[in-house]
Amino acid sequence: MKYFFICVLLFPFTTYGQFNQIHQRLSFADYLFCSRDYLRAAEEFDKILPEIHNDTIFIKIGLSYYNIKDYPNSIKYFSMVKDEPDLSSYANEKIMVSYFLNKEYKLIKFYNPTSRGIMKLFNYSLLIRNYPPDKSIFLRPFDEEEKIEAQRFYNLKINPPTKSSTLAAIMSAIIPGAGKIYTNRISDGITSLIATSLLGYLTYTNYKADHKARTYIFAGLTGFFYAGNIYGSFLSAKVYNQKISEDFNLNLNIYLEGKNYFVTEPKFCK
Amino acid sequence: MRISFLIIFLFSGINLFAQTDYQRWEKKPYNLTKENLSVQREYKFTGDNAIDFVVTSGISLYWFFISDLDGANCPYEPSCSSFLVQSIKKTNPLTGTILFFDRFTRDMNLFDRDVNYTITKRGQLYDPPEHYIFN
Repeated sequence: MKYFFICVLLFPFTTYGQFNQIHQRLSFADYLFCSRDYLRAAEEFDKILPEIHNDTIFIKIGLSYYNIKDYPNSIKYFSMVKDEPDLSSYANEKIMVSYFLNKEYKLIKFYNPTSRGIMKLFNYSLLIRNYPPDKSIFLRPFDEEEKIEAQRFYNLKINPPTKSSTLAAIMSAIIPGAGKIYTNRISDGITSLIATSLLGYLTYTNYKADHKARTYIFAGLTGFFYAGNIYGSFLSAKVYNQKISEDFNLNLNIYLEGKNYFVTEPKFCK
Repeated sequence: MRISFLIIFLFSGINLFAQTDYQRWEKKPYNLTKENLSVQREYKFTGDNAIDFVVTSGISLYWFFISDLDGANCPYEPSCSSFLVQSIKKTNPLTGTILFFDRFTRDMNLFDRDVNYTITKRGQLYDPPEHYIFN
């Protein structure tokens, strides 16, 4: 009887201790999250989930994985947010951004018609996928300020400043090195012109002097340098075009990162 | 008996983690030679076909008699001769040779090198044949 009485007295302390332990763990996870120690924060939050699970914790776990670029996991946790409408809309936006960053452009959809940020991101994803819509449709969700940049990116996609590889090859066939100069490799073009002309001149002088062996050697070398110059100009234009495409994607990503992918972040830390 | 056993038991733990003086602290033999990772040269005098045999043998002879004695002077990574071998392996003898002549022309150019190429840790210009092979 006495022991039973003691147990009854001590029971609240033990449960309170356990409760306190979970809340301490939550505080610690919050501290890790705010200290940007995202991997450990995600692990700590994950351990709390069986006891406490609410939308804020799901968002925080999702954000932790998002910040360490583990997009499949971030999508998984953002998808669990269901109850609070504000957080749910934010989580949906973050899911779409995660798809965008994970290069799963086809999965980007805007369920909520009021989410203009996702509409903007969707339009940019169409540019990256090489399916640009009509200009008026593309520019529709953007503000007046954003329209200038959006228009610039759109024009760069529709009319990229590329060079024709065939034209570069033809130019080099007519004047050695001209194709390389056309693709902005000016010094390479001049070197090519000098090398091919010099070898051609040596072939000519040796032919004039009736040195047959030297004529054959220099003629062979001239031919190879000439062919190398034509094919090199063709490839130089291809390399140039690839650089244009890569620069477009890089500049677009830098711009979107600066805009935080059109998502307004709630403040979870002081 | 008990006390002595206890003392031995306690001190055995200390002995286990005590400093091992029999392992002498001395300088390790050091090596000042620099490993040349870029030039993985395979000297071969064989080939799958006649052209491959001529090219591989010619390059091997060039490496053995000229390049190895002259030193690694090519500013590019891979070197021009390695570029020829690699480009022939990755394309075909004709395209590979034409690619090599284009590379050789670029090698003669002394200007804009740092603009057009990535510079490796060893200060060489990174320009492998993969940059010029498009499918």
